[in-house]
Amino acid sequence: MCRARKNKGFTNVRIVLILLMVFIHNNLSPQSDINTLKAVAIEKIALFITWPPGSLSNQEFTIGILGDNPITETLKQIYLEKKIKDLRVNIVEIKDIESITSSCQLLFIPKIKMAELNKLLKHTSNKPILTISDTKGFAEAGCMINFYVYENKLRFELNQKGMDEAGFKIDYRLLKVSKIINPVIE
Amino acid sequence: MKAFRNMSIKLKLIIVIIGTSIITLFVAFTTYLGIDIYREFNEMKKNAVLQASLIGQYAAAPLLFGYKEETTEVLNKLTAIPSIKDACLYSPNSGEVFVTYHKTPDSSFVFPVLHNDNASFQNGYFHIFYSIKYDNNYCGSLYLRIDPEDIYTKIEKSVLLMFVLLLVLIIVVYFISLKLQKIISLPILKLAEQTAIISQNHDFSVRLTPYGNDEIGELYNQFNNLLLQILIKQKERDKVLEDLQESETHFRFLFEQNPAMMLIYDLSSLKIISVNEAFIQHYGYQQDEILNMKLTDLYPKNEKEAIIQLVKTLKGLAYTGEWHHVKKDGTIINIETHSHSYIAEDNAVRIVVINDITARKKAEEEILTLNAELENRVKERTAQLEATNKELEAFSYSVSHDLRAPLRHVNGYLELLSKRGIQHLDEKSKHYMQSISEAATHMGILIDDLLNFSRAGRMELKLDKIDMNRPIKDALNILEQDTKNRKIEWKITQMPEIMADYAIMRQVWTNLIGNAVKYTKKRELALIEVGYTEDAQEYIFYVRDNGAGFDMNYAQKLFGVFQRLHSTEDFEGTGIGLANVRQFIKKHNGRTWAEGEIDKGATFYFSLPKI
Repeated sequence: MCRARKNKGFTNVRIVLILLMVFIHNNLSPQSDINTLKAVAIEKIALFITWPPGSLSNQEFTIGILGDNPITETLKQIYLEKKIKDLRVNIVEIKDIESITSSCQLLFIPKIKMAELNKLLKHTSNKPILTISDTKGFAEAGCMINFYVYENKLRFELNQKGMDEAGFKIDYRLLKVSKIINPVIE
Repeated sequence: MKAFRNMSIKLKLIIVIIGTSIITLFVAFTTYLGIDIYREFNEMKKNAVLQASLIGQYAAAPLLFGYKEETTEVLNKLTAIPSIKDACLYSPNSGEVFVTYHKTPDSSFVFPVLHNDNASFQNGYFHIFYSIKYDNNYCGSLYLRIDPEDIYTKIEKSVLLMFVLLLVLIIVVYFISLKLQKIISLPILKLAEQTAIISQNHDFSVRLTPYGNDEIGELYNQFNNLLLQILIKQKERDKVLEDLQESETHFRFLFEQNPAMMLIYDLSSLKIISVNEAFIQHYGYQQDEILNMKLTDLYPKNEKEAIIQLVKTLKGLAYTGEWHHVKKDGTIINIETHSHSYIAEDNAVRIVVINDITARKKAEEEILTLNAELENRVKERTAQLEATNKELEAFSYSVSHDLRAPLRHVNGYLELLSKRGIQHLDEKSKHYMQSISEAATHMGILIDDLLNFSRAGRMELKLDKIDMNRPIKDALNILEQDTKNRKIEWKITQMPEIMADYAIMRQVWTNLIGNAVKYTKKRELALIEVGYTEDAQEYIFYVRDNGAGFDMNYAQKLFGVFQRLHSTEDFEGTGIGLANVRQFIKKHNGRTWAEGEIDKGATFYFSLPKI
């Protein structure tokens, strides 16, 4: 979320519109509202994370979504112009685990079976892909970021050890606002 | 300011020193304090911004994610900094106040709306707006309201310290100035003291000893110089005054003791200012009496207006005139005044010299009367004389006329006698007869001349324009009888035309040329010159001969009746001829005179005026 001073006003208007939209969606469909929050949170989380060296050399930031997920549309809407890490965002739907490549910097994992998750994580373990899910227990299972709702607010778990092993550097500020799973003890 | 001017130098110096010290110290302290306050404020601002950035770092993530509890937690850490009274964080999305912090929980402070980054000091508080950024991404804004009471406490302490220090320094300066002022004020006071003594004693020969070579020392030198100058000027002035006094005395004496009467009056008011002794003596007024009078009071009534009018026209001109004055005793005197103006004490005054001419006037009048009398007497006498003359002329005429008759008888009878028998008479008788005849002839001539002379006094002139050559020619014809047997060399000039009586001119020339012929008869060769000279007023005719001449001592007698310088034996004649000439020429308003020398000839002149 870049906020250059000169178009701050315009951005403000846009934000207000989005929030208004979120508010409307919230009333109509809680599902789509939480998806928007998640989509927005992805950008913020990415802000505090440093990808392993060389993994962000592409012209664009690719978000992969496994399987058919309603969040895809929300992401596409939000990142039509909005950038992540100062890169244009490319939303890609991925059909199966095998087609996941290093060209994808972030992978949104839907609610899948644990075995499938393990298989996926095994596939991505040696790749600089930030894995994000919204299923209870996935963080403990090895997913790097896992959204959850607490007291009617979107929160997230952070698998510090997993990220550390994958070469991601996490700003301490992000740690302050996340629920840390598998903390790295130094 | 006036009060300061009248203060003693000592007090002035102390005030100046202390005043300057206070101003200097005050300015120095204030400047220092100002700089200190500025630095403190800057420091506080810097600290505040630092704090803001620190809080921003902690608040970035919770703010960005919109987590109120975590954000509040971060903000609550501000309790550690007591100067921050209020703080808030603005949401990065809406720009609304997201979480707030109040040092005093019941604070009613209303947070301002979001503002660009800025640190300002307003209403006694620092206001800091700080944009929280992470990796160049905007994560919201922080607002801090800081109470700079620490600075105020510091300033208060500094000011108090400064005032204490200032007070101490002023006391110190006072004591120092008390000592220092003496360096300057002492010589000045000494100078003032000595000046006072000098001006009291008028002793300008005193010399002062200076304290040093500064301006005051120079003042001492200049004062000494001034004293010297005063001394010189005083001497000069004394001399001038003395001279002036002397001159004044002289002139006062000249005025007071002058025998001529003098009066000085004011030209505008006509008041009499001063009179001299001669005036008082003559007029009889007292000095104080006259000084209360006006000029016009001296004049008789009928001249008062005239003198006022005259004075108006005088201005600076000198004036001389005759007037009348009234003395104290009322007598009116004739006076002659000579006056002129001069300026005395800014008023034009006029000094008048008065001359009493009453006596002179009287004398003049007497002379006039006498003259008139004399004239009358002369007229009288002349009339008498004229009458006598007329009688005399009438007498001599009648005498001459009456004498002719007996003479004719004598001659007639002598002729008869000689016809009858002169041959009978002896020689002696003949001689007697001859003598009688000659005497009778002579007597006849004498009577003729006397008749002429008496006629000459009475006759009327017949003035004509005549050619003077003609009467001369006539005279030569008349005299032909006497000249024909003579050797005479004539020298006759061509004559002018003149206005005269022709008959008289013929007689005058006959007389004069006849004389010349007569008195040259003893000369072998007679030289007779007839000529004239002229000037602007008159012709002068003359007859010159080389005859017997005369003694110049008797020249005046020549033209008298019966006056003869030669005997009848030598030269015959009656002694009336020249008297007649003088009478005739006098009738023509001319003059007659003669020059001569015995045996050297004579020249006879007569003049005739040109018209």
